[in-house]
Amino acid sequence: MAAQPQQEAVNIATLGPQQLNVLREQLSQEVDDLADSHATLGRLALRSSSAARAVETLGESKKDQAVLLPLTQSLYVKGKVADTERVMVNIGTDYYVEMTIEKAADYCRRRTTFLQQQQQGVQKAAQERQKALNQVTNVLQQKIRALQSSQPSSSGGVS
Amino acid sequence: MADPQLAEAVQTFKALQQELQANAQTRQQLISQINETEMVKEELERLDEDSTVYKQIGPAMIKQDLVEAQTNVSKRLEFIQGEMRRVCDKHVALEAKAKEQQALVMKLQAKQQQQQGTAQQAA
Repeated sequence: MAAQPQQEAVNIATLGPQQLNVLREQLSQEVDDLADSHATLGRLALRSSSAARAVETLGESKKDQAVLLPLTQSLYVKGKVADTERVMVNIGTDYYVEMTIEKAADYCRRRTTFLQQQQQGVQKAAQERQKALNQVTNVLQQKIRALQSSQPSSSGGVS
Repeated sequence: MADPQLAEAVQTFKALQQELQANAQTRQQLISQINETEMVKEELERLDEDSTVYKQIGPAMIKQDLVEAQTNVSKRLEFIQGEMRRVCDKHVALEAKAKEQQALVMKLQAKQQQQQGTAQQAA
């Protein structure tokens, strides 16, 4: 599902220091982006599972039970539970479905599982990128050291 | 002589790279739209015939027929997938052009360096 940039299988030992550096920065950026994705997916999965619990709690409550409804983060109004059987569920792209408590809770749980699976996939990808990044960094450092030791005078002479 | 030619070639190359970037961004947006739409399609297909579906149009929720909603979502998915194919084709074309342009730039750069070398030797 995540967009994979096209990668040619290149032996990194054949690349020069400049190219290696470019590759290193690219990999570093990818690792950061994957970490962000991982965190976002985790947050969303948490929200989904909270929603499932909330729906179940609503289902267990009694009709006309007193509740406090949030208007803003600090302002609540008193209300009564109107319906303990059906809820409106946002299924995406501006579509909403009226569902029973059980179906709604099931939807939330399925969504949670899906998000967790995506999160695991992202984690694997991040680990692979990190490994590649470490390899590239090592090879780059080796090459730099090799250059420095073979050219004590750093000016490029015409030979 | 080679200078304005080189400058122009570099300009063209930079423009191509910007186009590639914009195209990549569009591709990302389309990917997320495809994913979301596919999920909605799946959910709608799971529903019973008597389910109540609403579509949010601005601030209002309008009741929709389930079959109609399923059809609309399917059509939208096809449309986005078509857009995606276009964007991918464009990417391939742009990449080929950019490679060509890059080769041209390097050729002109090499030529310029050669000419500067001979000019210095003559001086």
